[in-house]
Parts: sequence; C-alpha cells; structure tokens
Amino acid sequence: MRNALRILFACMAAVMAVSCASAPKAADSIETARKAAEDSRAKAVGIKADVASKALFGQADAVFSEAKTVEAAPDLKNAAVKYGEASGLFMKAYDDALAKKEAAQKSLDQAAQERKTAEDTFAEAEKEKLAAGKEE
Amino acid sequence: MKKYLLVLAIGILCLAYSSAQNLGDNEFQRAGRAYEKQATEAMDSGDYEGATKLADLAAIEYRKSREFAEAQLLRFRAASAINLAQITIKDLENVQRIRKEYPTELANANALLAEARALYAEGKWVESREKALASIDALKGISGVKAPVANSSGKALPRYYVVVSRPQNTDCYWNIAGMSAVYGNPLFWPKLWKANLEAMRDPENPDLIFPGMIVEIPSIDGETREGTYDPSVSYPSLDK
Repeated sequence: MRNALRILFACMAAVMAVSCASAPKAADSIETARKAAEDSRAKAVGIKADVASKALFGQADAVFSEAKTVEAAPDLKNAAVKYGEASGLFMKAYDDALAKKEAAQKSLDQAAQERKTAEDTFAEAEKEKLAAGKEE
Repeated sequence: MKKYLLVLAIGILCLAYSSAQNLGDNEFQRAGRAYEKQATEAMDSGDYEGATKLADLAAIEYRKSREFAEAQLLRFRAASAINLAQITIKDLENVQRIRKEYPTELANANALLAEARALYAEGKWVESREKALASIDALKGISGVKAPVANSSGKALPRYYVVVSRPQNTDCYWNIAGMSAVYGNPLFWPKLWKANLEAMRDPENPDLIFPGMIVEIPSIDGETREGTYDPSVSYPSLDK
C-alpha cells in the first residue's frame, strides 16, 4: 500500500513538473508569434499596403484580429497558429505593395525624363527663336 | 546712362523670360505637370496603382509637348534661314556694282526666297528652310566688292571687314572701329559709317548693319590697306 502511494505521488509530481515546465514555453511561443505578426503588420503599414493592397491587407488584418480573440479565449496553441498565418498574409500584402510602389516609381521617373526632354527641346527652340527674329 | 542701360537689360531679360515661359507653357506641358503632381500625391498616399496610371498619362502629355517643341524648333529654324537669306540678298542688292554685275544670281536668290516664304506659310518648315538655304547658296558666285581676297600676308591692315553676328558683343561700327586691325579706337566709328553709307539699308541709322555686309575701312593716316580682315591673321599695329 505504501509503495502504491509512493508511486502515485511520484507520478503526480512528474505530471506537475511537466506541466509547470511546459507552461512558460506556451507563453513564449504565443509571445513570439504575436510579435512576429505585429512586426509584419508594421512593415506592411510602413509601405502603405493598407492602401496599395487593400484586399490582401484586409484579409491579413482579419486573421490577426481572430488570433487576438483566440488568444483571449485563451486558446494559446490556436492563437499562435493564427498569428503565424496573419504574419504570412501581412508579408504577402507587403510584397504586393512593394511591387506596385516600384512600378509607380518607374513610371514617375519615366515621366520626369520625358519632362526634361521636352524642356530641353523648348530651350533649344528658344535659342532658335531669337535667331528667327522678325520672321516670328 | 548706366541706369538706362540697366533698365534696358532688365527689360530684355524679362522679355526673354516671358517668351521662354510662353513657349514651354503649352497645353500639353501644363497637362503633364498636373498629372505628374497628382501622381506624386497618389504615390505619397500609397495609391501606387493610381500613381502609375497618372505618371503614365503625364509621360504621354510630355511626349506631345516635346513633339510640339520640335515642330516649333523646325519653324524657328526655317524663319531663321529666311531671315538670313533676306538680309544677305538685301545687303548685296544695296551695292550698285553687284546689282549690275550679278542680276541673275540675285533674281535666282529672290525666287528661291519667295518659294521658302510660300512653304513657310504652308507650314512646311523643313522644305522652307532648305529653300532659304538654297537661296543663300545661289549668291555664292558673287565675289563681293572686289574685296573678299583674304589678306593672309598680314603685312598691311585690312581694307574690308565682313560683318558677323555674335551672341555677345556683336558687330557695330563702334566695335569694328575699336578693333586693332581697323582703327584701334571706337571713337573713329563715324569714319566707317560715312564711308559705307551706300551699302546701308538705312544710311540715316548707323546702328543698322547686318551680317554679311562688307564694310570698307578707309585709311585715316595714309596707311596702306588691302584685302579683307581675317581673324586668324596678325596685323601690324596702327600707330595712331
């Protein structure tokens, strides 16, 4: 009987030890996942993906909100998964916005180049206008 | 006097500036600028797709503006060539000897100039310019006032000077008289004026001399003068 009790206590102690050791790990994991999602979101907002890639960003934000709700439940394991998913979606929105921004910058540079060419031609025409004198 | 010159210079600068503004301020350039501004604003707000579309529209307008400028350039070049042809013909026609000895060349040049003007009126700038240049070419056979033999020896001072147009400090009797190969003193400019009255379009106005006009340089102190002034030659000084 005494032996049986000893074994039972040992088992209970082991279970408690395992659960106490794993509790901080789950908290670390959710913290890391949330932080990663927040960083991705900040990066996406930084490039204005909320405007440039509104649909993708909206989708990512919805998952991010869901993750926060799940975390508050608390269902830390699922919350971490949701934060991971949101992080990936935010990065997708970021990449999409970056591609659009680069294309826009290229078009702006092209327009500026066209403007300069037109201005140079006008300057040349002005010089010629002076030589044209009264015919003009 | 300096005040008046300053005011005149400012006036000329303002005129040139407003002229430059007018030419560059065409509808395409204005539209291009408006689109480019909107594109920049869209870019700043994160509407990159909108910015791309607006910037592309700006580029299209600027291209139209450049094409407009190129057309103006051709027009001015044609006008410039017509001007030059007209001045050259007038100057030569003002010399009685040339009028008598080269009537065919002058008639050909005038006919080509008339064609150049007609093409100009039709908006055919390139063809107009070609005709105007051909008009000047038609005068090449005219040898001038017995003069255009370059005085390459440099042993004597030049007897003739061909007026040229320069961007700055352009030819006038004052500047010509001031040249060391002429009189080395601009105050002698009336001497040049009086000696060249017949060759001038408006003899009453000494400021009206034109590129291509051959100015005779009379001797002022018995010095020997021969040939036409050549800027590459070094002439003896006039001890005056």
